[in-house]
Amino acid sequence: MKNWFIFISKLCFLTGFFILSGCSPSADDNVHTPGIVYCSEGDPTSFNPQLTTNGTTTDASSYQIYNRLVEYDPALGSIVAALARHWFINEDGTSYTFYLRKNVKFHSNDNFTPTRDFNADDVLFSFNRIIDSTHPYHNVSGGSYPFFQSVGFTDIINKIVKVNDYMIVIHLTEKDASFMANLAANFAIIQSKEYADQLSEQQQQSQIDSHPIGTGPFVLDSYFQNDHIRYKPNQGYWNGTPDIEQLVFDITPKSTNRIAKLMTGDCDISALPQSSEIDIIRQNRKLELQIQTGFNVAYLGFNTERIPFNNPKVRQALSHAINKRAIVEAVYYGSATIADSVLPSLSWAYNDTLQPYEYSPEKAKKLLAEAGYSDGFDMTLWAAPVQRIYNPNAIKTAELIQGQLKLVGVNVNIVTYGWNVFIDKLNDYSYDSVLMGWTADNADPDNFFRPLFSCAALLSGGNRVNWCNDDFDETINQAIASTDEKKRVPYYLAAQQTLNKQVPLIPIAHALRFQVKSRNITGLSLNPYGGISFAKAKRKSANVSDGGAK
Amino acid sequence: MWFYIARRVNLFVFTVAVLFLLVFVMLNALPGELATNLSGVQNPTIAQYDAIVSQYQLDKSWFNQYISFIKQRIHGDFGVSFSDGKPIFDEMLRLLPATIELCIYAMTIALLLGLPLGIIAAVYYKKFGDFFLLGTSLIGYSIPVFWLGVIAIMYFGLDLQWLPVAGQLNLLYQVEHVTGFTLIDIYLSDIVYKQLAYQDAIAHLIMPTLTLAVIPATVVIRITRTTMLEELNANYIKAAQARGQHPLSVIFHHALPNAIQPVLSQITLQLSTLLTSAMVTEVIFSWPGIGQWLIQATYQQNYAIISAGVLVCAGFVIVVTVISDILLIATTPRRRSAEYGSV
Repeated sequence: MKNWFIFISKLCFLTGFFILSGCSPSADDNVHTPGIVYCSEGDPTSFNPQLTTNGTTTDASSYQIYNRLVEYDPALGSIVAALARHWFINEDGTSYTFYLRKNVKFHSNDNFTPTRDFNADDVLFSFNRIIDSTHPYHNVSGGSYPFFQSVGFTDIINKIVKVNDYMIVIHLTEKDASFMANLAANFAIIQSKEYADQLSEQQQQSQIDSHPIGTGPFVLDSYFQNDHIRYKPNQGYWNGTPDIEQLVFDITPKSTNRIAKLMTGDCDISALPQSSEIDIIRQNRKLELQIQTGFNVAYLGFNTERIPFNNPKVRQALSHAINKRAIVEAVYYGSATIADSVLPSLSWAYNDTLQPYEYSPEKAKKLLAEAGYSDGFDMTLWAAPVQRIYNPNAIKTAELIQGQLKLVGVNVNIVTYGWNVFIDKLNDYSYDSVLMGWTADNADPDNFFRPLFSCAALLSGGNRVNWCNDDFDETINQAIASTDEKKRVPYYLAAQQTLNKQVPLIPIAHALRFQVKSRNITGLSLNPYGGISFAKAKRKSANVSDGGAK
Repeated sequence: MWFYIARRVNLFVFTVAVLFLLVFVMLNALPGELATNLSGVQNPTIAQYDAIVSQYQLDKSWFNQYISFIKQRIHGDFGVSFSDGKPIFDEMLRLLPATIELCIYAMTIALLLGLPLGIIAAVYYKKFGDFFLLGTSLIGYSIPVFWLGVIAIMYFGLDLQWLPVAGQLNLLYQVEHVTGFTLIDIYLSDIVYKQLAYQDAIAHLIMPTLTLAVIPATVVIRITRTTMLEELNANYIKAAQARGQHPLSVIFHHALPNAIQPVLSQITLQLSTLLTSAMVTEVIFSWPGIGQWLIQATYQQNYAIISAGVLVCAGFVIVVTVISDILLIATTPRRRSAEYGSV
């Protein structure tokens, strides 16, 4: 009887063992079909980045499906050739000649097979669609091109001329040093004119943005809303066919789910981990955290037309009263660097001679007394209850500032609205101060000055500090009048010096950009301006990954 | 028998009518235009609006509106979703198989575990085995699904990293959506790595199915135990034992066939519980079924989807209850008396 019992229990144990080992593929080291899964945070709004400034859309299309004339290389920090082999800028910086790459093939899909290679017509089509409001494709998909409108693309381009099939000249109305950076931005992609013509014949114009054809490393295979996007490599991609069999975007809106999928191997790479999750990721030896200083800034802006903030002394006093280190620790959990200037220190135009305002309530009180506010005053602080790249929790930041300013006798009332209402109401300038931020679209330092501080930006809504200083405007306009970095630097140094003295806003922090990936994925870099590219990504073989993990 | 069926069908019609009335009142009471809530078309053009008005007879009395609302829904027109304007019915058909798949597996496991354990508990009445099983099933029944699911994810998914925690299948396996049942779809697809895909799909199934199976399994254990006890104490069993039949034969040939019928009828009553826990389970394990879809719709205040979901889920439970009742009386003549027919 006893033997019988032992036999049965052994049998049960063994069966259990076999069932377990048979059914858990992650135990025998992730046997999957070759390919990479990226856990993305949401659905793209379309597959054309020209139409949006939404990062999710850009991630899903810009670097996967398309190419630009020129690309920004984050490693070199400069602009490199892409669809344009090389280019030439005339002496007064108003005409740009591009020599285009030959033998570049467009994708094909069920509906379309290209009969010719990429040429100048495609470039003309892609840009004229944006700048020419009478272009047949201008109003397909709404006719709104937010990035290009914000950099004044339509006004700056006089005309685009095709010299021959592989050479075009872009004539500008005036000199613009940020023009190349704009062409390299995530949004300035090239579409196929031949595809557009075919769609016009079939009366299906809108498919150009939903069933995209590009020249990029991946071809769109299928898209299921709220579920996943599947790409296949573009065989014969001009810059080398990607080394993975397929690329899948697993649409996972919840951050915790993305981390869980990464840990169990359902995903290889994930975007936007939350600051509070960073520690868990660091502890996991299968995962690797990539960090990059973001080209963004979170700031406390003053309404400089209102009393008492029209007095620079008051603004300087408050700069001394704010403890940026405490904010970076409590709100960003250390996932940000303290900002001394609006410009991140990574930029070539950063001024490292600035005298930062150290945290000192005593100095603040003294300055307030000098300005005639020894008893302090009441002020409103507007903050939006939304997570942004530059500030994960503006409300918490506002509460910290409330506490810090109380020490110097300033009473802060926090005002908050939903994001869309918030942005709407800001345009009335009915606030005393506001917690806002800015994320750069391209590598050019100009992106931190003209959109935020110029008198023109008062109208377009970028100038949240209600500050218009003619001398300052003159400085930043001179800075973009030259295409030579060396000549531009002094102007930007001066501009930052002025901002540091005038303090229309207090820069608080530059949030770091994070990306989590499994250690056996290589060839992925983190772009400071957003936009992820899988063109060079590949999976290391299992043996190598074992070695790498130790 | 026919009288009984007629009573059941009568009851069914009235229950469904009341269900439709409740949903109709809900759609009226919700914020926003009635035309939008009914059809799901947001910001309709004038032509669209007129079409909706005539479709749902919005220019007539509320009773006409109610009747045409039922007509539309019965013909499979559930309107379109607020968020993307896709027909709700198609979306539902696409998502339903995933939920059914999960429920079927969970129910199978519940029966496979619950019946034998219930029998064991009854046979060892008031002995250690009985107390142990009763205690365990009480604990199992009391554990909330959402907590159990999360703990399972924490331990088996994130700590031990044995099992995947979300979805049906690793997305790298490109399996076409044909029937919506993962295992069948893998069988129908022509991918190279079929064996691996099966393994992966089963690994994805283990945690959600087990989580979902816990409550029905404990219920099955307790019901089986009770009914088995009743039968085991019956005189015919004592007679069989007195004749010297083998104890196993007494249990499986005499007691079990009689005990199992009430168990099966009780299980259909568990269906609404199962559906509710399936929704929670789907959300926890990101299972792309109807429950997750409905809960997302509540977040987005997508009234068109919510009302369709209420109708379909409640309707499903009603239909299954009626069918199981009819099947039960077809097999149990004793239940055909008028006493059972009235509810």
